[in-house]
Amino acid sequence: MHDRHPWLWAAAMAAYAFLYLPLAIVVAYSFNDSRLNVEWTGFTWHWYQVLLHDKNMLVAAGNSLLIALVSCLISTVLGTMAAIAIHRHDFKLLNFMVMTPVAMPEILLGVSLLLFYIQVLHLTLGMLSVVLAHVVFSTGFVAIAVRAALAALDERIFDAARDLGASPWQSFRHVTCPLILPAMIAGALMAFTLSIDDFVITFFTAGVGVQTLPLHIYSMIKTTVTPEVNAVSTLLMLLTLALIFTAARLAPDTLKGKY
Amino acid sequence: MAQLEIRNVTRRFGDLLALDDVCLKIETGEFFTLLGPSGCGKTTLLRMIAGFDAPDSGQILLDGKDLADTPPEKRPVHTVFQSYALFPHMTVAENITFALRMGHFTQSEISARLHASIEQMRLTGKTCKYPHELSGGEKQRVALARSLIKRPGLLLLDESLAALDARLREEVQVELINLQSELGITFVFVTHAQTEALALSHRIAVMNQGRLEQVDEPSKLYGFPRNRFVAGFVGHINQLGAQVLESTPGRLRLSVPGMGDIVAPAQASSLTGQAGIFSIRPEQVRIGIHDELAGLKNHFSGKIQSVLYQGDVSVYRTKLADGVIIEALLPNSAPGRARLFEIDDTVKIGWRHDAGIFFHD
Amino acid sequence: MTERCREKYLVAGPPFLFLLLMLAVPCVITLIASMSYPGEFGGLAPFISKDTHALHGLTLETYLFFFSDFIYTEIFIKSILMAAGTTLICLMMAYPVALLIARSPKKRRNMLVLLVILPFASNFLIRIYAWMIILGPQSALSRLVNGILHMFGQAPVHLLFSSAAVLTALVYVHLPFMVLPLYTNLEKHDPALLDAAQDLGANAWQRFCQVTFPLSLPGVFAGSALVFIPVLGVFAIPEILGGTGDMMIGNLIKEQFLVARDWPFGATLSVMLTTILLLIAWLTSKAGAIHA
Repeated sequence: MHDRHPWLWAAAMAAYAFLYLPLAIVVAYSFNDSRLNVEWTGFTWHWYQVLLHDKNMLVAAGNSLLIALVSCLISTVLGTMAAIAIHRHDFKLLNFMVMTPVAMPEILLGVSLLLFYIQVLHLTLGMLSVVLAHVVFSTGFVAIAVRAALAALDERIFDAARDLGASPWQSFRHVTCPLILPAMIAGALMAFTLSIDDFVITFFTAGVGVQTLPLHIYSMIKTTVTPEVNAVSTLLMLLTLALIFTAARLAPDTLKGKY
Repeated sequence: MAQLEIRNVTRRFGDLLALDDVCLKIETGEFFTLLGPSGCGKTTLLRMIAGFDAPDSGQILLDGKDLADTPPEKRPVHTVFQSYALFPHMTVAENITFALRMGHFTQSEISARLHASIEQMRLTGKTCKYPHELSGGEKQRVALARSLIKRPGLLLLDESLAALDARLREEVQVELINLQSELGITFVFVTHAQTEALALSHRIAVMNQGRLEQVDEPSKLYGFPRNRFVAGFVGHINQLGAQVLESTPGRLRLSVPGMGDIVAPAQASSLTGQAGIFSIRPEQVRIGIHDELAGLKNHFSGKIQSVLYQGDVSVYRTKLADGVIIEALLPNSAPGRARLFEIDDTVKIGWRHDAGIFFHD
Repeated sequence: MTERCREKYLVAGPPFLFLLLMLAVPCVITLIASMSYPGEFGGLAPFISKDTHALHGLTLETYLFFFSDFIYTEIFIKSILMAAGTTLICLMMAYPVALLIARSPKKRRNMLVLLVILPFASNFLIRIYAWMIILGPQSALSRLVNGILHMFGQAPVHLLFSSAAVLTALVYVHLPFMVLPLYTNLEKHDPALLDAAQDLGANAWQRFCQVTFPLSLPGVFAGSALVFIPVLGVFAIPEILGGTGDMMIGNLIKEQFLVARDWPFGATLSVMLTTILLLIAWLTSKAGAIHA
């Protein structure tokens, strides 16, 4: 191949090592038979057992799953609708609105939603406020995935469907929907992953009403660091890894939104 | 009453006048072709008939009924799209029966029609295949079958042969002609390929820059083009700047710079002194070495400048004494001989007094 | 045509209304909040009040307050420098990776791209936590660094809770945002250009400087914007890994909302951050357009 200098190799490999080493350490220490993340002293499942009996952690995990599930369902519907509106009707304002939460720093969305909830809606922060906040940013990622799928299709098949007598609804049900379904599922998985991982926006919109897994991890990191954090991190990594793999397999363009 | 009538249809896209007051009548059972260069408005017109676009002004009538308020899915008109637009997630059978499944047809009716259609289109054994597994010709036949399954009164074909390679295209042309006469359905065909239009159509409308230039049978269009655009677009033609010296009933005498006087058939509207273009088809130009062309009213001497061998025919470019170049087309009837004349041969060229047309400016 | 219109509103309506309510309105509220007086018990003072002595209505006082104490401007400047540093280091680390991927055989490229993304399947906090372990006072790295310092007779240093720790984690978290746009750009380069340059006598370094790098500038700008913008808004990384002097804009905003409960000032800081980001986004899109 062209211009693949040994230096290039070395620099790139160093960057890959930089990416993986820290996570490898987290995973390794989750099996370490020591309270301190300092030295390897022996293999144990202990921290996973601790995890299984940590009530707060389990409640937080349950909340996270519920929030992720609900927000992913809503954002998949809204994101798909937005993608169709943008693709077919060239709705530029909607495109801008859908993409803004994807591009803006999370803290800005977090504080403006906090202000909105308290000052305008007089809402008690809790599950509902978090779910709505997650839908705001997840919708954009679903829309990206579905738009990519729509853009890859031959526009004329929609004309063909109408030409052959399909009503707009029939055309959606028999032609559009089956063709964008993989992208919708990929977008939904992406939304689920983002929701379950989200810290910043949840931090501002959860109040004291609800504890999620990232919020719980945050308080553990800030107060008592034990390898239990490593254990829950490892499990969370496995879950998101599985979701991302599935999403990438269904629609390779989905990941482009996030990264 | 014409089956399809286009009445004063005009359509603008911003500054571009895509269709400029187009009027057209198409009769039941006709194979009608819209021919023109890309951007001439032929596809816009087709999309309007199908219902995907609407005229800014004017009307489109089908069997005397204005179609303005009928959406595409309600029109008894179906389209074969340029890239076929087969549904990639449906099998051949599902594609073909789509229109029936969208309407209220019984299962037995659907399978009966599918069966007949598969037979007719020679798609036996392909019913469970997906579009990406088909050859170009098969895709084309599926697209046709899909559009015909509901037996529309009018079938629109948008550059439907463009995606096929040259050899297959000829085959499909024959099939298309047979199919059309068998079914008796009106075909409206859009193409930019003049040979295709000439081979297939009962009548052709030549379009340019949103206007209809001429609507005629293929032989009339080729033999008697109404203007320079049609003459140049349909087939090859020699075009020479000329001026009318004398206009008598039945005959024109023209002065062509570099050739002197020539005689051409009369044009009703041509007056003495008018400038214009004299056009003559290459196959009407004859070439000889001796005096065999002396009997023709128009004959000149020149030198063969280049020869384009095309297998069945050869095109000879002859340079006359004053630099005018005339193309002549001769069949290669003698086997094994690539050319009848060699480059730099001194030859005589000529044509009959009733050949060629004069278009005044 | 009217049917198409109805379809448009039917499809676009729900997401549009949702985002109007949950995105546009909150943004406007933030702008209004930045010009309000703080409420007595946190939150905002009411806009209309019967008590004429109570503070109400709109004001630019919070904006003036920002400039009254240099400490706020200083935090903004430090944050921008931190973001610029992160962007530069990310660029230097990401370029070789992107170039290597772009010059790998086609079948291997997706795999290599996935390898860049995969670490980010892990939670954001976990990635920060990993650096807490690595940079902790008892960690192998800390002992190594302090051992070396000891050999030269220097006092030991804390790796954790320092600007260096913050910068490291910022680079770590944002590296893929730089790799992917760069790769997307580099992948499109015509390899014949490099052949041509070599044919005309350019060595590897010259080929890079004269051909590859200038052509990749749109990717560089895109990647830089994708790193710079989120870095300017972080608060968790400085809070967990930084010391007291490593406060960034994000921390300042968070403090106003959750600790000091001075919401108008917090909103003011948000509006100022947004302004800076929009300015940067506009500049990069301009720069990108020139080079595209």
